[in-house]
Amino acid sequence: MKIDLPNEKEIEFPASAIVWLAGAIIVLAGVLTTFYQVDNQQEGVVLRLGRYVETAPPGLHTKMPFGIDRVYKVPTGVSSTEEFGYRGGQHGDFSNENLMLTGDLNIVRAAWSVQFTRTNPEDYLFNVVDPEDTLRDISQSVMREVMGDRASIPVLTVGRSEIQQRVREMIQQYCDDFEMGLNIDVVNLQFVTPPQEVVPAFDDLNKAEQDASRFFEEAAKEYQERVPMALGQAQRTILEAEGFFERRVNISRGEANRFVSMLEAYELAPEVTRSRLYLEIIEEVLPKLQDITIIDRDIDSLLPHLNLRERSAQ
Amino acid sequence: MNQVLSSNSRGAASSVIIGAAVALGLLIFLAFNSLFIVREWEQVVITQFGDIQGEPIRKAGLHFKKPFIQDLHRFEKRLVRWDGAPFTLYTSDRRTIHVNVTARWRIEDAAAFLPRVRTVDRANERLSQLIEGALRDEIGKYDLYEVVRSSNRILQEEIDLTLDGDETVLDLEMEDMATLGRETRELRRDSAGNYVVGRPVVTGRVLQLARSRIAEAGLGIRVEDILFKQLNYTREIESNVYAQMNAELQKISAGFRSHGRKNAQQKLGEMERELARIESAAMEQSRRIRGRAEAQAIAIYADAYNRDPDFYRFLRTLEAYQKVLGANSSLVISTESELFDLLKNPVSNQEGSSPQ
Repeated sequence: MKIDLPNEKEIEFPASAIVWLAGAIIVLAGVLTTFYQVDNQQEGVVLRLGRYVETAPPGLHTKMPFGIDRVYKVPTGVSSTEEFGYRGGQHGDFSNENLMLTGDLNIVRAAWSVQFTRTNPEDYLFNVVDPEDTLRDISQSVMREVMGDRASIPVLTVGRSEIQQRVREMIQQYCDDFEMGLNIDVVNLQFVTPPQEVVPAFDDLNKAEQDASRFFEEAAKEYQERVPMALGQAQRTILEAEGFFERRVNISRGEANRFVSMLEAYELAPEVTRSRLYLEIIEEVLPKLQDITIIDRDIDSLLPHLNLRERSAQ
Repeated sequence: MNQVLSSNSRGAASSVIIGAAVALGLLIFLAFNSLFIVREWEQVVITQFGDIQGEPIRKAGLHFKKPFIQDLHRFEKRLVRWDGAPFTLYTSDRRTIHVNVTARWRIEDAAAFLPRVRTVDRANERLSQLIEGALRDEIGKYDLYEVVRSSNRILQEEIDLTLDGDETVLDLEMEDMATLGRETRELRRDSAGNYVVGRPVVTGRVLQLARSRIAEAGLGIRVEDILFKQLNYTREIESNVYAQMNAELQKISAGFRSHGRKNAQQKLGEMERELARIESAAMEQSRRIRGRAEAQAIAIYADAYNRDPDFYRFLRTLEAYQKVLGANSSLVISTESELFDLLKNPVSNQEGSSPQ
């Protein structure tokens, strides 16, 4: 057809303008459909007359024009996220998605997200009608299967990372089996909680656990405070007794010593010393007395009366 | 052709052009009616006056059919998703459950699919009947736990938790705690150790049953899998389950607390015992020491005073006078006492009168 154009122009047909225009449009269309651009983070899958020929990386490429080659672009470089049991930034009732049975036939609420990339654009285009929705189906089923094989309290408390890992593996297995061309990057459990109706009781369980250890800790603290204190006191009692021992023995030794010394001196002049000691003491003691009554055997009726009078005068 | 055209007269030329254009148009029309493209995700069945011609075309590319008398029917070659509506089922232990199932299928035999089903929508309708029927028939044979669980892992789980768990909860019934007090029964296995029940097994059986029914109906469809998108209690039962969970949780909480109190009391008891032991041991030792002190003192005193008990008594008596007699005492002394004997007898050996 292109070869026709120059000849027609030379002859200068009256219809040449129309033919020219048609030719120009055809050329333009040919050029436009020959070049195509694959953006960054995309890959272009080229079908020639419906049949796969190649996958083009990002950049400017040429293909056969007029729809002989068709390009289907797949965003292979971008990861996408599907959300389950919740929607980011949205409030609503997603209980159909997030209520599930655990292996002990109790109910928990779980929300999670699945992040995936379309790693194989041919598989992605050729094998599954609706890869994203299929992924959603698989993901929900897998999560329920995994939760359904576990007991409720472990699921609610400790088992998160193990579950994420297991779910990711299982979804990937399905994707591989169906050749969906998807890679599951991350499965992230947003939350695993007890159902609304059970939340207070569950919270109380946590509190009870803390209470239990608190009760014990308090007792242990008291123990820690009082036992060392008692040990100190015991030590003190013993040391005091030892002090008493020292004092008692020392004093008695001193006393004994004093006695022995006095005795030795006394034995040199017993009579005199005895009298002296006696009189010295009497001398010292008698003046302090309130009164002294000296009686004589010969007069035995008078003195008591005197004594009585003195007393009543006071 | 154009060379010939250019050397002829104008009228003749234009008629030739028109003729050529018509011929070209016819050719294009013919081409559009006989040539067709099959894309990678398609398969095509050719019919001639309604009769299927040959095998379905599954190879992508440019294909040819007889124009006008043959029709082409395009079908999906890809995996198609069937998404069922939620419905209610009964398990063999008479639990009412709410299920939502999905399946993936493909047109395996387009030649069968075309006359019996024709469209994906109708295929989904047929699948809904067949799969739901298969589910009802199969699930009813199992207890709920046999559909929910996949393995006996859960029986192992309590042991793991016991090992990992805080030491202070060891005394609690770990089995009850992990499963919220529900008994966990063992999934049956065959002699080779393979599970004969459990979610994968049951869905596998449902799939088999559905496949055989689809094959009987000759739909040309192959179902690749059947998955539970949802499997929950019905709303009415849910509230019972919640009540049960609440009761069980409260029981466990109470268990925790009383266990904590028990531990605390035990610790306090230990403390009291320790205190008593420490205190009494100290008292014992202290008394012993004091006793030894007294004993030594007694020995020391006795040792010294025994040298002259009489002198000791004399001295000690004088000391006692010093302490006993004071401002509050009055003394009656006989003139015959040692102090005053001189009053009467100034010289003990001489005779004299004492002054009055």
